[in-house]
Amino acid sequence: MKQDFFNENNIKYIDYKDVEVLKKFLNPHARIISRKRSGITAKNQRNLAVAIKRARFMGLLPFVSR
Amino acid sequence: MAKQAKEAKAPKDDSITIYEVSFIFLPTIAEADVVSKVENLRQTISKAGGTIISHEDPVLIDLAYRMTKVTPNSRHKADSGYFGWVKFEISRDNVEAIKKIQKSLDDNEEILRSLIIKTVRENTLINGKMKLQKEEKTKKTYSTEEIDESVDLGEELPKEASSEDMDKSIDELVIN
Repeated sequence: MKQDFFNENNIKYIDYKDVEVLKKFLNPHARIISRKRSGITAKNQRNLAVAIKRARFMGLLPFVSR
Repeated sequence: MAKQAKEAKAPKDDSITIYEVSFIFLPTIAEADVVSKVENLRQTISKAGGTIISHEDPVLIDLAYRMTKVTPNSRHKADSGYFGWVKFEISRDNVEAIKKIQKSLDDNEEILRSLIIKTVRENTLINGKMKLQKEEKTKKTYSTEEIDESVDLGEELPKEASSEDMDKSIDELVIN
């Protein structure tokens, strides 16, 4: 079992502006890494998905990438 | 200890909601003007009844993809923009204020894109500041340096000389 990244680092609120953190959960195509592979809790995965989508809207992260 | 105190405070402020507005200004604006534009935005927030908690001044960043901003007389395509955010608190009943702020953002022709979200009072950024912007900035300076070098190497002078030669030769032809 992988440890939850956000619990480990004591992050309670996943901020969409923390691009460096969010990038860890994107694959080379800029798709969100599934919960199976990311190993984070369901709650955090949901919040992470929202944060990534907000970052995408604001042009901080790409929607698609090669 | 400090965290516990904050958590204890949170339930008391049931009548207050924390919002965060983030925005991207068009890159065509001069860097010196951006600060005053944000000041206008902050004034509209406080006029609507909000109290500003924290903010970060806009910094020019490279966007992850090209955005378009359509205004009545032009269509801007932007690969970069000034990204900044303002965090503020406002009473929960004050729905009209949020609508007003949203409208002022939408109506502003210099704002490429904006986002209003509910958030928490505590600082949510790990490093306290956005890391990306610094990197982007350094990248930018590198790229501009490269461009400058290429311009220097490009040597525009010979081109001008050649055009002058062309004119001379044309003149000669005309005289003949």
